[in-house]
Amino acid sequence: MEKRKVLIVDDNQITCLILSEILEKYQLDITCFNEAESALEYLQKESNNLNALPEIIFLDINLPAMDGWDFLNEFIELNTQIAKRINIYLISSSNSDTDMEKALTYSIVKGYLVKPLIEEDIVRIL
Amino acid sequence: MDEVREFFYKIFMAENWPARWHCGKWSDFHGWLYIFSNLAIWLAYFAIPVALFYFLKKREDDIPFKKVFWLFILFILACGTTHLCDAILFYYPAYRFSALILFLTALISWITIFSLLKVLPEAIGIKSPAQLEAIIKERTNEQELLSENLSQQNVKLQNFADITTHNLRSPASNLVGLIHLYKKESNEEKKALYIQKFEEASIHLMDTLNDLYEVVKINKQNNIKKERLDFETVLKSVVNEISTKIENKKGKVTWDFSACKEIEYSKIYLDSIFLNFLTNALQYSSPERPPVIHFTSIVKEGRAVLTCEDNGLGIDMKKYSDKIFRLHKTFHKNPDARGVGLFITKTQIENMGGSISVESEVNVGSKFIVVF
Repeated sequence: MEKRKVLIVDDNQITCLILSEILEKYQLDITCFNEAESALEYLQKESNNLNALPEIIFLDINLPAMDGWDFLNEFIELNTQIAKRINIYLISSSNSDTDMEKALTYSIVKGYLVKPLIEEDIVRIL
Repeated sequence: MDEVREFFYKIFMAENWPARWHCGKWSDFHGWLYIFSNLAIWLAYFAIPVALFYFLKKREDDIPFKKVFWLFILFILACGTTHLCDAILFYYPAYRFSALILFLTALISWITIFSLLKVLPEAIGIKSPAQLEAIIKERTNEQELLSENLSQQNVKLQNFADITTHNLRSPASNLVGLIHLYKKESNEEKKALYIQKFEEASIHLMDTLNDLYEVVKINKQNNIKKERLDFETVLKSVVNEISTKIENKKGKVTWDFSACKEIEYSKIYLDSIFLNFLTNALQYSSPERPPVIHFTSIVKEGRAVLTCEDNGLGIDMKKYSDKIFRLHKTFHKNPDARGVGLFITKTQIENMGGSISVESEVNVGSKFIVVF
Protein backbone atom coordinates (compact mmCIF):
# COMPACT_ATOMS: atom_id res chain seq x y z
CA MET A 1 0.00 0.00 0.00
CA GLU A 2 1.25 3.44 -0.90
CA LYS A 3 2.25 5.66 1.99
CA ARG A 4 0.28 8.81 2.72
CA LYS A 5 2.24 11.87 1.76
CA VAL A 6 2.99 14.72 4.14
CA LEU A 7 4.76 17.97 3.36
CA ILE A 8 6.51 20.02 6.02
CA VAL A 9 7.33 23.65 5.23
CA ASP A 10 9.47 25.09 7.99
CA ASP A 11 12.76 26.96 7.85
CA ASN A 12 13.82 25.61 11.21
CA GLN A 13 15.62 22.35 10.65
CA ILE A 14 15.08 21.18 14.22
CA THR A 15 11.32 21.71 13.94
CA CYS A 16 11.41 19.72 10.69
CA LEU A 17 13.33 16.96 12.43
CA ILE A 18 10.96 16.79 15.39
CA LEU A 19 7.92 16.65 13.13
CA SER A 20 9.51 14.09 10.79
CA GLU A 21 10.50 11.86 13.72
CA ILE A 22 6.95 11.88 15.04
CA LEU A 23 5.37 11.29 11.63
CA GLU A 24 7.79 8.53 10.64
CA LYS A 25 6.34 6.29 13.30
CA TYR A 26 3.03 6.39 11.45
CA GLN A 27 4.39 5.14 8.14
CA LEU A 28 4.03 8.41 6.30
CA ASP A 29 6.00 9.66 3.35
CA ILE A 30 7.54 12.92 4.54
CA THR A 31 9.09 15.71 2.51
CA CYS A 32 10.60 18.79 4.13
CA PHE A 33 10.99 22.21 2.59
CA ASN A 34 12.83 25.03 4.29
CA GLU A 35 11.33 27.73 2.10
CA ALA A 36 7.80 28.35 0.98
CA GLU A 37 8.98 29.06 -2.55
CA SER A 38 10.46 25.60 -3.12
CA ALA A 39 7.37 23.94 -1.63
CA LEU A 40 5.18 25.91 -4.02
CA GLU A 41 7.43 25.01 -6.94
CA TYR A 42 7.11 21.34 -6.00
CA LEU A 43 3.32 21.54 -5.77
CA GLN A 44 3.15 23.36 -9.06
CA LYS A 45 5.30 20.74 -10.75
CA GLU A 46 3.26 17.87 -9.34
CA SER A 47 -0.12 19.50 -9.85
CA ASN A 48 -1.04 17.06 -12.60
CA ASN A 49 0.21 14.04 -10.76
CA LEU A 50 -2.44 13.62 -8.09
CA ASN A 51 -0.66 10.64 -6.54
CA ALA A 52 2.45 12.67 -5.84
CA LEU A 53 0.52 15.38 -4.03
CA PRO A 54 0.55 15.40 -0.25
CA GLU A 55 -2.50 14.78 1.84
CA ILE A 56 -1.35 17.06 4.59
CA ILE A 57 0.89 20.14 4.68
CA PHE A 58 2.38 21.38 7.92
CA LEU A 59 3.11 25.02 7.23
CA ASP A 60 5.12 27.35 9.43
CA ILE A 61 3.78 30.90 9.42
CA ASN A 62 7.07 32.61 10.04
CA LEU A 63 9.25 31.70 7.11
CA PRO A 64 12.10 33.66 5.57
CA ALA A 65 11.16 35.79 2.58
CA MET A 66 7.79 34.34 1.54
CA ASP A 67 5.94 33.56 4.77
CA GLY A 68 3.14 31.13 5.52
CA TRP A 69 0.40 33.62 4.60
CA ASP A 70 2.06 34.42 1.27
CA PHE A 71 2.29 30.69 0.65
CA LEU A 72 -1.42 30.22 1.38
CA ASN A 73 -2.40 33.05 -0.94
CA GLU A 74 -0.31 31.69 -3.80
CA PHE A 75 -1.36 28.12 -3.10
CA ILE A 76 -5.05 29.03 -3.47
CA GLU A 77 -4.28 30.67 -6.80
CA LEU A 78 -2.35 27.61 -7.96
CA ASN A 79 -5.13 25.13 -8.56
CA THR A 80 -8.40 24.84 -6.75
CA GLN A 81 -8.58 21.11 -7.46
CA ILE A 82 -5.33 20.55 -5.59
CA ALA A 83 -6.33 22.90 -2.82
CA LYS A 84 -9.44 20.83 -2.17
CA ARG A 85 -7.44 17.63 -1.76
CA ILE A 86 -4.91 18.96 0.69
CA ASN A 87 -5.36 19.74 4.38
CA ILE A 88 -3.11 22.47 5.66
CA TYR A 89 -2.11 22.75 9.31
CA LEU A 90 -0.39 25.95 10.33
CA ILE A 91 2.43 25.73 12.82
CA SER A 92 3.66 28.69 14.78
CA SER A 93 5.71 29.40 17.84
CA SER A 94 3.28 32.11 18.91
CA ASN A 95 -0.29 31.65 20.05
CA SER A 96 -1.20 35.08 18.70
CA ASP A 97 -4.94 35.70 18.52
CA THR A 98 -4.58 37.73 15.34
CA ASP A 99 -2.77 34.87 13.62
CA MET A 100 -5.38 32.37 14.79
CA GLU A 101 -8.22 34.58 13.60
CA LYS A 102 -6.46 35.11 10.28
CA ALA A 103 -6.04 31.35 9.93
CA LEU A 104 -9.81 30.92 10.26
CA THR A 105 -10.36 33.02 7.14
CA TYR A 106 -8.69 30.33 4.99
CA SER A 107 -10.98 27.38 4.33
CA ILE A 108 -8.04 25.20 3.33
CA VAL A 109 -6.48 25.64 6.76
CA LYS A 110 -7.74 22.79 8.91
CA GLY A 111 -5.89 23.60 12.11
CA TYR A 112 -3.42 25.77 13.97
CA LEU A 113 -0.68 24.09 15.97
CA VAL A 114 1.38 26.00 18.50
CA LYS A 115 4.93 24.78 19.08
CA PRO A 116 6.27 22.75 20.88
CA LEU A 117 5.06 20.00 18.60
CA ILE A 118 4.36 16.83 20.55
CA GLU A 119 3.22 13.46 19.35
CA GLU A 120 -0.16 13.51 21.10
CA ASP A 121 -1.23 16.65 19.21
CA ILE A 122 0.05 15.44 15.87
CA VAL A 123 -1.61 12.02 16.14
CA ARG A 124 -5.02 13.60 16.51
CA ILE A 125 -4.66 15.13 13.07
CA LEU A 126 -3.60 11.96 11.25
CA MET B 1 -11.73 119.71 71.38
CA ASP B 2 -14.80 121.84 72.00
CA GLU B 3 -15.03 122.48 68.28
CA VAL B 4 -14.92 118.78 67.54
CA ARG B 5 -17.52 118.03 70.17
CA GLU B 6 -19.77 120.77 68.81
CA PHE B 7 -19.21 119.47 65.27
CA PHE B 8 -20.51 116.02 66.06
CA TYR B 9 -23.20 117.30 68.40
CA LYS B 10 -24.67 119.47 65.70
CA ILE B 11 -23.83 117.17 62.83
CA PHE B 12 -27.24 117.33 61.14
CA MET B 13 -28.07 120.94 62.12
CA ALA B 14 -28.25 123.53 59.39
CA GLU B 15 -29.15 126.71 61.24
CA ASN B 16 -25.79 128.49 60.73
CA TRP B 17 -25.97 128.67 56.95
CA PRO B 18 -28.51 129.68 54.34
CA ALA B 19 -29.68 126.94 51.93
CA ARG B 20 -27.48 126.94 48.87
CA TRP B 21 -30.30 128.24 46.64
CA HIS B 22 -30.12 131.45 48.70
CA CYS B 23 -26.36 131.67 48.93
CA GLY B 24 -25.17 133.81 46.05
CA LYS B 25 -27.18 134.27 42.90
CA TRP B 26 -28.37 131.09 41.15
CA SER B 27 -30.46 131.15 38.04
CA ASP B 28 -33.09 128.35 37.95
CA PHE B 29 -31.29 126.70 35.07
CA HIS B 30 -27.88 126.85 36.79
CA GLY B 31 -29.23 125.57 40.13
CA TRP B 32 -31.27 122.71 38.65
CA LEU B 33 -28.43 121.72 36.35
CA TYR B 34 -26.24 121.50 39.46
CA ILE B 35 -28.83 119.55 41.48
CA PHE B 36 -29.85 117.25 38.64
CA SER B 37 -26.23 116.43 37.71
CA ASN B 38 -25.33 115.66 41.30
CA LEU B 39 -28.34 113.37 41.68
CA ALA B 40 -27.55 111.65 38.38
CA ILE B 41 -23.95 111.07 39.52
CA TRP B 42 -25.16 109.78 42.91
CA LEU B 43 -27.53 107.28 41.24
CA ALA B 44 -24.84 106.11 38.89
CA TYR B 45 -22.37 105.83 41.78
CA PHE B 46 -24.84 103.63 43.61
CA ALA B 47 -25.57 101.48 40.57
CA ILE B 48 -21.87 100.67 39.98
CA PRO B 49 -21.39 98.98 43.41
CA VAL B 50 -24.54 96.94 42.80
CA ALA B 51 -23.04 95.67 39.55
CA LEU B 52 -19.71 95.02 41.26
CA PHE B 53 -21.44 93.24 44.12
CA TYR B 54 -23.35 91.05 41.68
CA PHE B 55 -20.09 90.25 39.88
CA LEU B 56 -18.37 89.39 43.18
CA LYS B 57 -21.16 87.08 44.23
CA LYS B 58 -21.19 85.30 40.88
CA ARG B 59 -17.44 84.80 40.77
CA GLU B 60 -16.98 84.36 44.50
CA ASP B 61 -14.67 81.33 44.23
CA ASP B 62 -12.09 82.40 41.71
CA ILE B 63 -11.91 86.19 41.85
CA PRO B 64 -8.52 87.57 42.96
CA PHE B 65 -8.08 90.68 45.13
CA LYS B 66 -11.53 90.46 46.73
CA LYS B 67 -10.55 93.02 49.40
CA VAL B 68 -9.76 95.63 46.75
CA PHE B 69 -13.11 94.95 45.11
CA TRP B 70 -14.89 95.64 48.40
CA LEU B 71 -12.88 98.80 48.90
CA PHE B 72 -13.88 99.95 45.42
CA ILE B 73 -17.52 99.34 46.28
CA LEU B 74 -17.15 101.44 49.44
CA PHE B 75 -15.17 104.13 47.62
CA ILE B 76 -17.77 104.55 44.89
CA LEU B 77 -20.60 104.53 47.41
CA ALA B 78 -18.82 107.26 49.42
CA CYS B 79 -18.20 109.35 46.31
CA GLY B 80 -21.90 108.98 45.39
CA THR B 81 -22.92 110.13 48.86
CA THR B 82 -20.83 113.34 48.52
CA HIS B 83 -22.80 114.18 45.38
CA LEU B 84 -26.09 113.47 47.14
CA CYS B 85 -25.04 115.76 50.01
CA ASP B 86 -24.05 118.44 47.50
CA ALA B 87 -27.56 118.34 46.02
CA ILE B 88 -29.26 118.32 49.46
CA LEU B 89 -27.30 121.45 50.48
CA PHE B 90 -29.52 123.43 48.08
CA TYR B 91 -32.44 122.88 50.49
CA TYR B 92 -30.92 121.71 53.76
CA PRO B 93 -27.44 123.17 54.39
CA ALA B 94 -26.06 120.49 56.77
CA TYR B 95 -22.48 121.47 56.00
CA ARG B 96 -21.09 119.57 59.02
CA PHE B 97 -22.58 116.32 57.78
CA SER B 98 -21.33 117.09 54.27
CA ALA B 99 -17.81 117.69 55.63
CA LEU B 100 -17.94 114.40 57.54
CA ILE B 101 -18.98 112.52 54.37
CA LEU B 102 -16.15 114.21 52.45
CA PHE B 103 -13.67 113.22 55.17
CA LEU B 104 -14.87 109.58 55.15
CA THR B 105 -14.66 109.53 51.35
CA ALA B 106 -11.11 110.88 51.51
CA LEU B 107 -10.18 108.21 54.05
CA ILE B 108 -11.69 105.36 52.01
CA SER B 109 -10.06 106.74 48.84
CA TRP B 110 -6.58 106.62 50.37
CA ILE B 111 -7.07 103.18 51.88
CA THR B 112 -8.20 102.00 48.42
CA ILE B 113 -5.16 103.59 46.79
CA PHE B 114 -2.75 101.89 49.21
CA SER B 115 -4.47 98.54 48.83
CA LEU B 116 -4.38 98.95 45.10
CA LEU B 117 -0.68 99.80 45.08
CA LYS B 118 -0.03 96.77 47.21
CA VAL B 119 -1.69 94.34 44.81
CA LEU B 120 -0.63 96.15 41.63
CA PRO B 121 2.51 94.06 40.87
CA GLU B 122 0.52 90.90 41.33
CA ALA B 123 -2.35 92.27 39.24
CA ILE B 124 0.03 93.21 36.43
CA GLY B 125 1.27 89.63 36.49
CA ILE B 126 -2.21 88.25 35.85
CA LYS B 127 -2.37 86.79 32.38
CA SER B 128 -4.87 88.09 29.91
CA PRO B 129 -7.22 85.51 28.33
CA ALA B 130 -5.16 85.72 25.12
CA GLN B 131 -1.94 85.09 27.05
CA LEU B 132 -3.56 82.24 28.96
CA GLU B 133 -4.81 80.79 25.73
CA ALA B 134 -1.28 80.93 24.30
CA ILE B 135 0.10 79.23 27.42
CA ILE B 136 -2.57 76.54 27.26
CA LYS B 137 -1.84 76.03 23.59
CA GLU B 138 1.87 75.71 24.26
CA ARG B 139 1.27 73.27 27.10
CA THR B 140 -1.20 71.29 25.03
CA ASN B 141 1.40 71.02 22.30
CA GLU B 142 3.97 69.85 24.84
CA GLN B 143 1.51 67.33 26.20
CA GLU B 144 0.65 66.12 22.73
CA LEU B 145 4.30 65.71 21.90
CA LEU B 146 4.86 63.86 25.13
CA SER B 147 1.88 61.63 24.59
CA GLU B 148 2.96 60.97 21.01
CA ASN B 149 6.40 60.10 22.30
CA LEU B 150 4.90 57.82 24.90
CA SER B 151 2.68 56.03 22.43
CA GLN B 152 5.68 55.61 20.12
CA GLN B 153 7.60 54.13 23.03
CA ASN B 154 4.63 51.94 23.75
CA VAL B 155 4.46 50.67 20.19
CA LYS B 156 8.22 50.06 20.30
CA LEU B 157 7.84 48.14 23.55
CA GLN B 158 4.91 46.17 22.20
CA ASN B 159 6.85 45.33 19.06
CA PHE B 160 9.81 44.32 21.13
CA ALA B 161 7.64 42.14 23.35
CA ASP B 162 6.22 40.47 20.21
CA ILE B 163 9.69 39.96 18.78
CA THR B 164 10.97 38.58 22.06
CA THR B 165 8.02 36.24 22.45
CA HIS B 166 8.28 34.91 18.95
CA ASN B 167 12.03 34.58 18.74
CA LEU B 168 12.42 33.00 22.13
CA ARG B 169 9.43 30.72 21.89
CA SER B 170 10.68 29.16 18.69
CA PRO B 171 14.01 27.74 19.99
CA ALA B 172 12.53 27.08 23.43
CA SER B 173 9.66 25.04 22.03
CA ASN B 174 12.14 23.06 19.97
CA LEU B 175 13.93 22.15 23.18
CA VAL B 176 10.65 20.93 24.66
CA GLY B 177 9.84 19.01 21.47
CA LEU B 178 13.25 17.30 21.52
CA ILE B 179 12.88 16.34 25.19
CA HIS B 180 9.52 14.71 24.39
CA LEU B 181 11.12 12.72 21.58
CA TYR B 182 14.08 11.76 23.75
CA LYS B 183 11.93 10.48 26.58
CA LYS B 184 9.94 8.18 24.32
CA GLU B 185 12.92 6.89 22.37
CA SER B 186 14.77 3.70 23.21
CA ASN B 187 17.14 3.65 20.26
CA GLU B 188 20.51 4.95 21.48
CA GLU B 189 21.48 6.35 18.09
CA LYS B 190 18.32 8.38 17.89
CA LYS B 191 18.81 9.52 21.44
CA ALA B 192 22.29 10.75 20.58
CA LEU B 193 20.87 12.64 17.59
CA TYR B 194 18.27 14.33 19.78
CA ILE B 195 20.96 15.35 22.26
CA GLN B 196 23.02 16.81 19.44
CA LYS B 197 20.00 18.74 18.16
CA PHE B 198 19.23 19.79 21.72
CA GLU B 199 22.66 21.34 21.89
CA GLU B 200 22.13 23.14 18.56
CA ALA B 201 18.78 24.49 19.71
CA SER B 202 20.32 25.67 22.99
CA ILE B 203 23.05 27.53 21.11
CA HIS B 204 20.41 29.07 18.85
CA LEU B 205 18.45 30.16 21.91
CA MET B 206 21.56 31.71 23.41
CA ASP B 207 22.33 33.53 20.14
CA THR B 208 18.79 34.88 20.02
CA LEU B 209 19.08 36.08 23.60
CA ASN B 210 22.32 37.85 22.74
CA ASP B 211 20.72 39.50 19.71
CA LEU B 212 17.79 40.67 21.77
CA TYR B 213 20.12 41.95 24.45
CA GLU B 214 21.87 44.06 21.80
CA VAL B 215 18.53 45.68 20.97
CA VAL B 216 17.73 46.27 24.64
CA LYS B 217 21.13 47.88 25.05
CA ILE B 218 20.46 50.27 22.16
CA ASN B 219 17.00 51.21 23.40
CA LYS B 220 18.30 51.78 26.91
CA GLN B 221 20.79 54.40 25.78
CA ASN B 222 18.99 57.71 26.00
CA ASN B 223 21.82 60.18 25.95
CA ILE B 224 24.16 58.73 23.41
CA LYS B 225 27.39 60.63 23.08
CA LYS B 226 27.45 62.51 19.80
CA GLU B 227 30.58 63.75 18.11
CA ARG B 228 31.55 65.40 14.87
CA LEU B 229 32.33 62.56 12.48
CA ASP B 230 33.83 62.60 9.04
CA PHE B 231 31.91 60.14 6.82
CA GLU B 232 34.98 59.26 4.79
CA THR B 233 37.21 58.61 7.81
CA VAL B 234 34.63 56.38 9.49
CA LEU B 235 33.85 54.44 6.31
CA LYS B 236 37.54 53.93 5.52
CA SER B 237 38.19 52.46 8.95
CA VAL B 238 35.22 50.06 8.60
CA VAL B 239 36.33 49.06 5.08
CA ASN B 240 39.78 48.41 6.49
CA GLU B 241 38.32 46.24 9.21
CA ILE B 242 36.60 43.90 6.74
CA SER B 243 39.06 44.26 3.87
CA THR B 244 39.61 40.48 3.68
CA LYS B 245 35.89 39.85 3.23
CA ILE B 246 35.73 42.51 0.52
CA GLU B 247 38.78 41.10 -1.26
CA ASN B 248 37.43 37.54 -1.09
CA LYS B 249 34.34 38.69 -2.94
CA LYS B 250 36.42 40.88 -5.26
CA GLY B 251 34.25 43.74 -4.08
CA LYS B 252 34.68 47.45 -4.64
CA VAL B 253 33.61 50.15 -2.23
CA THR B 254 33.27 53.72 -3.54
CA TRP B 255 31.88 56.91 -2.03
CA ASP B 256 31.02 60.53 -2.62
CA PHE B 257 30.61 62.53 0.56
CA SER B 258 31.31 65.90 -1.06
CA ALA B 259 27.78 67.27 -0.50
CA CYS B 260 27.81 66.45 3.20
CA LYS B 261 31.18 65.62 4.65
CA GLU B 262 30.45 65.52 8.34
CA ILE B 263 27.76 64.60 10.79
CA GLU B 264 27.11 65.00 14.51
CA TYR B 265 26.41 61.40 15.47
CA SER B 266 27.35 58.45 17.65
CA LYS B 267 30.63 56.92 16.46
CA ILE B 268 29.58 53.40 17.49
CA TYR B 269 26.30 53.67 15.61
CA LEU B 270 27.80 55.11 12.44
CA ASP B 271 30.44 52.33 12.51
CA SER B 272 27.66 49.80 12.91
CA ILE B 273 25.55 51.32 10.10
CA PHE B 274 28.47 51.20 7.64
CA LEU B 275 29.47 47.72 8.77
CA ASN B 276 25.95 46.33 8.42
CA PHE B 277 25.44 47.86 4.99
CA LEU B 278 28.79 46.53 3.80
CA THR B 279 28.43 43.01 5.17
CA ASN B 280 24.86 42.89 3.92
CA ALA B 281 25.88 43.93 0.42
CA LEU B 282 28.72 41.39 0.40
CA GLN B 283 26.54 38.61 1.76
CA TYR B 284 23.80 39.17 -0.80
CA SER B 285 26.01 39.95 -3.76
CA SER B 286 25.13 38.47 -7.10
CA PRO B 287 27.17 35.45 -8.21
CA GLU B 288 27.11 36.91 -11.71
CA ARG B 289 29.11 40.08 -10.92
CA PRO B 290 31.56 41.31 -8.28
CA PRO B 291 29.90 43.51 -5.68
CA VAL B 292 30.12 47.29 -6.10
CA ILE B 293 28.97 49.24 -3.07
CA HIS B 294 28.59 52.99 -3.37
CA PHE B 295 27.95 55.41 -0.49
CA THR B 296 26.68 58.98 -0.93
CA SER B 297 25.76 61.69 1.53
CA ILE B 298 23.64 64.79 0.93
CA VAL B 299 21.74 67.34 2.99
CA LYS B 300 17.99 67.28 2.44
CA GLU B 301 15.60 69.59 4.27
CA GLY B 302 18.31 70.36 6.80
CA ARG B 303 19.06 66.73 7.59
CA ALA B 304 21.98 64.58 6.57
CA VAL B 305 20.99 61.70 4.31
CA LEU B 306 23.23 58.70 3.66
CA THR B 307 22.58 56.24 0.86
CA CYS B 308 24.19 52.89 0.24
CA GLU B 309 23.71 51.35 -3.18
CA ASP B 310 24.77 47.88 -4.23
CA ASN B 311 24.51 45.72 -7.33
CA GLY B 312 23.57 42.57 -5.46
CA LEU B 313 20.69 40.13 -5.52
CA GLY B 314 18.10 42.72 -4.55
CA ILE B 315 14.87 42.12 -2.68
CA ASP B 316 11.41 41.67 -4.17
CA MET B 317 9.85 44.84 -2.77
CA LYS B 318 6.33 43.93 -3.83
CA LYS B 319 6.44 40.94 -1.56
CA TYR B 320 8.76 41.87 1.24
CA SER B 321 8.80 45.66 1.65
CA ASP B 322 7.20 45.48 5.11
CA LYS B 323 9.42 42.68 6.36
CA ILE B 324 12.93 43.81 5.52
CA PHE B 325 13.83 45.30 8.88
CA ARG B 326 12.33 42.55 11.03
CA LEU B 327 14.45 40.46 13.33
CA HIS B 328 15.47 37.06 12.01
CA LYS B 329 13.98 37.78 8.64
CA THR B 330 16.19 36.66 5.81
CA PHE B 331 15.45 36.79 2.13
CA HIS B 332 17.98 34.61 0.49
CA LYS B 333 19.21 31.07 0.75
CA ASN B 334 22.38 32.12 2.48
CA PRO B 335 23.56 29.95 5.34
CA ASP B 336 25.14 32.93 7.15
CA ALA B 337 22.01 35.02 7.02
CA ARG B 338 20.57 35.52 10.47
CA GLY B 339 18.39 38.57 9.84
CA VAL B 340 19.88 40.54 12.69
CA GLY B 341 22.01 43.28 11.10
CA LEU B 342 19.30 45.38 9.48
CA PHE B 343 17.10 45.07 12.53
CA ILE B 344 19.91 46.37 14.74
CA THR B 345 20.75 49.15 12.26
CA LYS B 346 17.11 50.25 12.17
CA THR B 347 16.89 50.24 15.97
CA GLN B 348 20.03 52.35 16.26
CA ILE B 349 18.93 54.87 13.64
CA GLU B 350 15.46 55.23 15.13
CA ASN B 351 16.86 55.56 18.62
CA MET B 352 18.76 58.64 17.39
CA GLY B 353 15.56 60.09 15.89
CA GLY B 354 16.26 59.11 12.27
CA SER B 355 14.70 56.75 9.78
CA ILE B 356 15.76 54.10 7.29
CA SER B 357 14.13 53.01 4.07
CA VAL B 358 15.02 50.78 1.17
CA GLU B 359 14.52 50.67 -2.58
CA SER B 360 15.38 47.46 -4.35
CA GLU B 361 15.01 45.52 -7.56
CA VAL B 362 15.62 41.81 -7.90
CA ASN B 363 18.95 41.08 -9.61
CA VAL B 364 19.75 44.78 -10.00
CA GLY B 365 20.57 45.78 -6.44
CA SER B 366 19.39 47.54 -3.30
CA LYS B 367 19.56 51.13 -2.12
CA PHE B 368 19.32 51.88 1.59
CA ILE B 369 18.52 55.44 2.58
CA VAL B 370 19.25 56.73 6.07
CA VAL B 371 17.86 60.08 7.18
CA PHE B 372 19.82 61.13 10.26
